[in-house]
Formats: sequence, structure tokens, C-alpha cells
Amino acid sequence: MRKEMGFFAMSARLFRIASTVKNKLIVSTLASIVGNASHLGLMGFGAMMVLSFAGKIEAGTPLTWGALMGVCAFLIMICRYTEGLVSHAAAYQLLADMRVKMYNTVRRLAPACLVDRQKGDILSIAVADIETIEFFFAHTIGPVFTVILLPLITLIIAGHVDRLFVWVLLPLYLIISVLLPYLSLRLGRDVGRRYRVQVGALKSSVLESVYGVRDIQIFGIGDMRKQDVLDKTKDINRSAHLLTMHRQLVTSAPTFFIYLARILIIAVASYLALSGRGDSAGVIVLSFIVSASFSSTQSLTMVVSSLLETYAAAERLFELEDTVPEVIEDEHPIELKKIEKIEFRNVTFGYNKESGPVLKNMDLTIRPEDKIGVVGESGIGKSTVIRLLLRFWEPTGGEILINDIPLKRYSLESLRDRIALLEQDTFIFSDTIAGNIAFGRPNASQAEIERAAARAGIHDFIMTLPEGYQTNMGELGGRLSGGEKQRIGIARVMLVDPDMLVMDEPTSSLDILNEKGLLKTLDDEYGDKMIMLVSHRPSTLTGCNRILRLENGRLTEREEAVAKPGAAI
Amino acid sequence: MLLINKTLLDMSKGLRRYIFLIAALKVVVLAATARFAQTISSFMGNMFEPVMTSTDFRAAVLAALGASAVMLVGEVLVGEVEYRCTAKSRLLLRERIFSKMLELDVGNIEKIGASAAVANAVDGVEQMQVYYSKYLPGLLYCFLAPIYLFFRLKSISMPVATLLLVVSILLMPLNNRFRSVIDALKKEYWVSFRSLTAYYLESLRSLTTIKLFNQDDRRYATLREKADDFRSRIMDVMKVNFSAFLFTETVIYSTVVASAVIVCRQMVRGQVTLSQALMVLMLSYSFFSAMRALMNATHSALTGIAAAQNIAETLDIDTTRPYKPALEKKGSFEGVTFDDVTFSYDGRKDVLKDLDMTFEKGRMTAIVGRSGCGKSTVAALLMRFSDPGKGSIDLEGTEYVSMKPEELRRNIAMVPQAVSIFSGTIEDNLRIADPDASEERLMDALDRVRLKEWVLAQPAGLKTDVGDGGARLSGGQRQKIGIARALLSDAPYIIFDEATSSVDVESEGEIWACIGELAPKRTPIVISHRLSTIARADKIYVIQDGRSAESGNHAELMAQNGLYSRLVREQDELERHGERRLAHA
Repeated sequence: MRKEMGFFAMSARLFRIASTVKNKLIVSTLASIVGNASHLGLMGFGAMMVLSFAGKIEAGTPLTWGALMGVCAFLIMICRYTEGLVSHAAAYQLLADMRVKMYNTVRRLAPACLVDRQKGDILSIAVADIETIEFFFAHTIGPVFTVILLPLITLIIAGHVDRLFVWVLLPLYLIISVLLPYLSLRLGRDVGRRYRVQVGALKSSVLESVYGVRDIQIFGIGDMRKQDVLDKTKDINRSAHLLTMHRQLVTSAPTFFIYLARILIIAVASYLALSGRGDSAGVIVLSFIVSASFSSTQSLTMVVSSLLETYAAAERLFELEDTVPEVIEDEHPIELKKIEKIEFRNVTFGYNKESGPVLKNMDLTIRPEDKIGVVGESGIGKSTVIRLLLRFWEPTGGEILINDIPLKRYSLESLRDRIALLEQDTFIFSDTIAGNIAFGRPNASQAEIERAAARAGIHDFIMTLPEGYQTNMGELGGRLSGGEKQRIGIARVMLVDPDMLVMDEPTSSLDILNEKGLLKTLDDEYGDKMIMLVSHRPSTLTGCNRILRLENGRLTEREEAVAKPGAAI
Repeated sequence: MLLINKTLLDMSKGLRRYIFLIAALKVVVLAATARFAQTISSFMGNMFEPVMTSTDFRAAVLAALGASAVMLVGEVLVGEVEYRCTAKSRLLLRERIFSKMLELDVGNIEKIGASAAVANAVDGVEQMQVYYSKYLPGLLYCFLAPIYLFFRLKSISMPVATLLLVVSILLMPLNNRFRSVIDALKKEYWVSFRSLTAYYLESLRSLTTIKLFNQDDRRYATLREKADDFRSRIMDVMKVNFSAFLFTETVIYSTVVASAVIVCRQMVRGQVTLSQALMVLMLSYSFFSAMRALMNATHSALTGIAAAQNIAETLDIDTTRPYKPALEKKGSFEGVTFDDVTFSYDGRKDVLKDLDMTFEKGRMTAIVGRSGCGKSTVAALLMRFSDPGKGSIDLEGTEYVSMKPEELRRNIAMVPQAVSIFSGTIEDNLRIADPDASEERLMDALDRVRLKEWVLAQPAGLKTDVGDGGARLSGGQRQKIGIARALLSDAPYIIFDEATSSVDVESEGEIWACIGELAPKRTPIVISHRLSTIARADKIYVIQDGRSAESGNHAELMAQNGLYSRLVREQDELERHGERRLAHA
């Protein structure tokens, strides 16, 4: 399937994202280097001061060394503060960008991808995964430079004391700075990824339980759902165990090597002392410097272990970004003007190979005066016809033309302006009722909103609410009945005023008086527009002048246009 | 930084021994570090003496190696215990939160918000781990480490040991000065985070609608604003946080420099040897490493604490329902009765007013009325999703409040307006009603809702994956599964709330025939605005403005010439036209 992205390719991609905050990253990196170098100074000058007081070295005065120690302490504080603040500023600016970019990615893939991708999973990527990428920018880039510079400085000092120290320290630096981080990346990469995937799965499950709480209570399956949550948590625990052990090894092993290095310095010093070429003061200063030079590499190794999670997160983010959308807009799209004719020519479509085609060589021509009713059994593909017309998916065979031009030449925006869809379930946003109705035209006036609501037969209901049009709908919109939601959806469509109105089961939860009102509205207000209506209720099809039945992937005409629209009312 | 709060400590029950164990192991590691410093520094001090032999050298190297080995093992053990602590807390907390969520009624979940519920149970719990596995043990260690080191150093240099101990102990309250500021900020931070998450979730769930109305650019712009707001909030927290760091570090490094100077002066006076001075220099820094580690953990613990507070809010919601098991049985009416029931959501306008109704066992009862008249509220009360404000509901003479909701729901099942389908297979979704049903029984239920053929036509049959939340099913198929599920349950009473609103017309008739046949073995309670489907009901209630306006069977109601007969006439008229059009083929 998809080729695994290499470590370097991923780093390069992360850095490309970072180019907008280049200056901040440079400042924080410089601060990190100076701060860590000062740390070497603090230890080294401290040792010099002690030795100078003890009269073991001649160079400088105790006061000079003490003052230098103080300067280093001051630099450490200033640099740590600067590094922390500036790198976080950069990281969070990037995070904000990436979050927004993420939505951009998902909306590009929508609506086709939403059927398959687990929604909770996408949310997990968007919110939590991107958060872990913060770590990369806030805590990684500075240490990467210091890990090279500090050992280098230490090795130079070691060379001054005795060349033998260089040969002893060099392999240890290589182990701690190169080998261990590399190994930990290799070993832990999949663990971090698995952990993220499992958290995503848990999220989907919990989200489903929240939305399905009613059915859970009806059938008393709370314990079953809880068991699922606990099982998924146990999976997470297993991955977390590996992650923790891995991190512990990554942090403890270098600590061990640091101590080993200091022991080796004594051992070498002993050897040198016994062979009579010891520089005791030099050894002491070196020992202190070495202990400080490792503290930075130590933090890098810690960074590396957290990097695992970052790379796992980035990998999933990039994977999503690289997904090719089902529908790609023409590079130079033309704008759809008034619709004169819609034609399905030999259209074949299936969602995937296993379930076979839903539509087979379907033909259909729609003219401006048409009011089409589509009937057929549940799940036979009635909604699919609508989805293809609105270009959620491309047909797998044949083509759809509007005004004799292929559908895919038009801009998606103009297509969706001209053809409005009233969905089976109307989504209610956590906004006011007015905001919900004006969703498609946010700048509509209150009068226009009220007119649309009146036409959809919901104005009176809204006026009974204490806050009227300003009533907030809350996240689940649970206070509205199915019929009320649908009428808000109808009002929403009415306000947009398209050429063609496509409705998927528009009256399934309307009572008969409201249904009649809707049909009358369609007749009064949409007499000159194209209508396509999917319904299983004969009453709803009253206003249609063509009835089509979908069977075996094809549409068959039930009747030629004879009835005058709205004759029933 | 001192981040202790009652809620979090309460939630740490069952984790405390891990927390103490981690702190204890850290002290062991510290002891090994001190031993190491002592060995190294005494070796260094002695290097200037010409008396060191190769045996002395070897002894020093071995002692240092031993100390390092203890540190390594100690660190690994700390990791293992930390893991056990987090593993246990994940399970404990998720269980509590999820159990609570299941007790919440729909209104409460609406108040919290679906995304917040998920943030609590998943991200919140993950974020809290740092608090229990790092922060609390770190805090404990922060008190233990200076005391241990004080005793280690006091024989060498009392002034330095005292200085370091006093500063370590003072740092904690000094740091607390920042806490009030951070407290206020992190609340704003969390509000902003939740607003961003909620908006995100909504945008994803409604993406189809957003695209259809060409609103994704506007949505995108708002998201951008919210993301930027979140960024500026988190930076506010960071600024204070880093100022706290700066302050602490100033104190720490000044103290390190001061101790070095003090010990040097003592050395000049001959009170301290060179070895001891070097050891003080080495250990003075260790004095504060506990404090620095704690500050690092604080950075992450802050998010964990904010999350914990939200979780605590959810856990504190009162979900106790009236429960009076001692109530006496009120006679032996065979069925469910509403006795003078009044109900409103959260003190708003009454949805139902002084309602009296009876649902006789073995007979079909129907409820009709215009949208918003309170039909679905009747269903919610029958299922006991809520309790009435006034009046009582009885099941066969037993008051609802004298039973536990689960007990009641074994007697009454329901097909709600919007059926929830869970990820998994068709079979999984059916088995929630009867986990042990035979395949034959499942197929029979599917046959009764006219879904058997479709299922058999799928390559995977009953094992067909329904997609996330049943996304691969059509509206009609979802409802059919909902009905099949209710039929599979053992409950004698079944409520059908607009149960076939999306089902195709061919199946609809057959499904209603099947529902009609349920009586007298079972008791169907039907809510529908499709009047033809309920004409055969034994009793029909017409609800208007929360009251029962008319009741009787179809013939009686038609004779009354009221709302019912008007609805029936209008519907007939419309349907006749529609039927004629269909029949013309």
C-alpha cells in the first residue's frame, strides 16, 4: 500500500512547516546553545575557584573564577527563559497553523471520506496528534545543536589535559549522542504509533456511546459498552507500558554512561598518576565539565524518546494530507449559470468493489420544468443518485452533464449554489435558530430569515420559544423534534434560493399538516424550479410530474409528465 | 509549584502506594548519587597526595561502579512503577467517568456537550497521568531529597547544609505566588481549548452540510480565529510559567554560587578539606535537581489538572433518580398508567400538563398529534429517561419510582426516532437486545422488518460491517435494524416512536402488519403521524399542547369530528393523489 515515509523525509517536511517562524527558532536555538555552554562554564569555573582557593592552581585569582561562575549562572537563567518563551511562541503559532491546515485537509477530502474514516479518529489526529508535534518545535531543535557543540568543547578541553582522555570520552559521546537516540528511534517508532491509533479507537467508541446513550439505556447494554472502553484502555496500557519502559531505558542508559565516563576519567587519571604524568587540577576541572556536558545530551535523549510520539503523530497527519480526494475540481473550472438540462448518461457507480455497483448504466434527463420523484426500496441507491449529482463522488462509468457540459468542468461552489440539497437528517449547529436558518447565507436579514421560516412552517413554533430566533440550539440540538429539525433544514434551503432543489426524504418526520404545508410551499415558491425528491411516501410525491423507480441499478419512468404540479392542493 | 487539589487527591485513591513507592525509589537513587559523589570527590582530593596506591584506585573505581549500577536499576524500577500507576489510574478513572456518562440523561449530555464528554474520558484521563505518575511523587521527593542531603552534608559544612535546606524549603511557598495567576489563566485556557474542540468536532460532523452550503471558507476562518485564541491563551500560561522558572532558577543558581564561595572560605580556614569542598560543589546542584524535575513535570501537570477539574465537574453532576422501593403496589391494573402527569425540561414551559393515560397490556395503543405536541416526551417518560415533575407513572400497579430504571427497562423497549447504530457488524447491532440469540432468531427478526434478503445479498451476510456509527446504512435500513432489535428483546412493552419514517413504502406496510400482530402477546405503543398505520389501534390518544385532547378507537374519534378526523381527512386526500400517480404506471 502506502510507502513508509523515511525519517529524514519526515523531518524535512516538519522543518518546511516551520519556515514561517524561522527567526523565533533561530533565537531560541542560540539561547539554547549559550545557556548550555554557560552550564559547562558554571561547573568548570566552580572547580577552578575551589582549586584556586586551595592553592592548587596558579592561574587567575579565586575572585576571578568566582565572578566567572556568577556570570555563567546569570547567562543560564536568561537563556533558559528566552529559549523557553520564544520556542513555545513559535511552536504554538505553528500549532494554530497546523490545526487549521488539518481542517483544510479534511474538508478537501469530504464528504466522501467521512463515510469510511472514523470521525473520532480524525478528531484525535487534529487535536491530540498535532499537540505532540508541539514538542518537536519547542524542545528539539535547540538541543540538536548543543549536542554537537558541547561534546566538542569538552573534547577540546580534554585534549588540553591529556590526549588519552579524548580517546576514552569519544566512544562514550558517540554511544550517548548517536547510537542510543538512533536505537531508541528504531525500536520505539511503532509503539508510539500504536498508542495513538489505540487512543483514536477509544475516542470513536466513547463518542458513539455518547450519541447512542438512549439506545444503550433502552437495551441496558451500559456494561457491555463499558467493557469495550475498559478493553480498549487495556490495549492502551499495553502500548503505554512499552513506551514507558522504552523511555526509561532511553533516559537511564545515558545517565549510566555519564557516570561511567566519570569513573573512566578517574581510572585514566589513576593510570596517568601511576605512570607519573598526572595533571590533577586538570583532571578535576575536566571531571566537572564532563558531568555538565552530558546534561545536555541527556535532555536530547529524552527528547528523542518523546520524538517517537511526535513522528508517529506527524506520520498520520501527513498520511491524511497525502490522501487523494475522491473528487478533484477542474483546474480552470467554469461557473455554472442557470441550469437548462441535466443528463445522466450511462452512469455506473459502486462505493467499493466488494459490494458491487449500486447504479448500472443509468440514464436520465432532467429539464427545467421537471418535478421528479424517485422511489425505491431502502438502500437501493436513491441517495446515491443525489450524491453523484452533487459530485460527492465521480461515477465509475458514464458521465453526468449539465447544459451539455460534463459536470466535472464546473466549479464545485457554483454547482452547490445552483443545486441545493435537503439532507435526510438536518444537522443543527450549536448556534442560534436564526444562525442555523441563515447558515447558507450568513448575511441574510432578520426579515428574510423569518420569511424563510414562515415558508417552511416553523415561524410560529420559533415565536413560542422565550428567546425566539435567538434561542441557542446547544450541541446536540436534542431539544428539537425530528420534524422541527427538518423544517429548520427546509428554511435553510429556502433562504439560499437555488435553481434546483434536491430533497432526500424531506417529509419523513413531518406530520400531515406540515407536510401539506411544505408541498404547498414547494408549489407556490418553487413552481418554476427543478425539483428532485426521494421519498417512499406516496403523499409526498403528490406535486411531482415524473415518478421514477430505482430498481437493479436503473431508473424506470413510471409516468410521463401529465399532471399539473400542485394539482392536489 | 504546588498544585494540590482536593478533587485530584480524592481521585488518587488506589494509586497512593504507587506514588509513595516511586518517591522511595527516587530516594534510593539519590543515596547512590551521593555515594558516587563522595567516592569521586575523595579520590580527586587525594590525587594531590602522593600516597595513593593502585589498590586505592581500584577500590574507588569499584565503589563508583557499584553506585552507578544501583542508580541504573533504581531508575528502571521507577519507570515500571510509574507505568503501573498510570495503567491503574487509566482504568479506574475511565470506569468512573464512563459509568457516570451512562447515567446521564440526554439533557445532561447536551449540557456537557459530546465533545467535552469525549475530551474528559479520553484526552483528559491521558493528560492526568502526568499528575499521578510524575507530579505527586516528584512533590513528595522534593521534601525528602533536601532533608536526606542535609544529613549527608551537615557533618562536612553546617553553614552550607543549612543554607541549601532553608532555600529548598522556602522555594516551594515562594513559587506558590505564581499559582493564583496560573489558576486563573488555565481556566481561560481550558475554556478556549474546549471551544476549539467543540467547534472542530461540529465542523467535522457537519462537513457535508457545510460543503453543500458553500460555507467551508467561513467555517475555516472561524476555526482560524479559535485556533489563534487558543494559542494566545496558552502563551499567557507559558509566560507566567516561565517567569516562575526564571525566578526559581535565579534562587537556585545564586545559592549554588554562594555555597561554593562559603565552602571555599571554610577550606581556606582549614575547616574543610579539598575533597569535601569538591563534594559540596557536586551535591549542591543535586539539592535542586528534585525541584527542577518537579518544575518540568508541572509544565505537563498543569494540563492534567485543568482536565481533572473538568472531569470532576462531570462526576459531580447529580444523577440520582428518585427511588422509593418501599412504595406499596397500587392495585393490579394490567398495563402502564399515567396519573396526572406534568413535565417540563429544566423548569421551562410545561410540555405535558395533568396528563392521564392508560396503556393496556396486550392491546395496541397509539399516540398522535402535531409535531411538538409532546408525543416523544410521553415516550421518554414511559422509558423513564426522565421523571415527571408531578403525578406518577405505574407499571402494572407498581410506581416507576419504586423500581430502578434498569429494572423498568427490562419491561419496556423502544425504537426511537433516530436509531443509534454502533460500529461493528449487523449481528453485533442485533445482539445488543439478545446476546444469546440463535442465528435463526436473528434472521427471523430481520425477515419481519424486510431486511433479510438484503442482508443475505451482502457477501458478509450478518457479519456485514455497518461503518462508523452505521454510516454505511441508509436511513431506512437503520430504522429496520432498530425495529428488529426491539423485537428481539424480551420486553413485553415496545414503544415505536415514528419508527418507520424513513422506511420504504413497500416494507412499511409489512412492518406495520407485523407490529399489529404483536398484540396480544406483547404490547405495542405506537407514536406516529402516519395515521393509516394506527387506525387499527385499540386506543388512540390525540395530544394537543401537552394534554390529551381526544381518545378512543378510530371509529369513535372519527365520529367526534375533532382534530383527529381533520388530520385523517387531510392525509387521505394527499395520499390518494400520490397513490394514483404511482398506480398510473
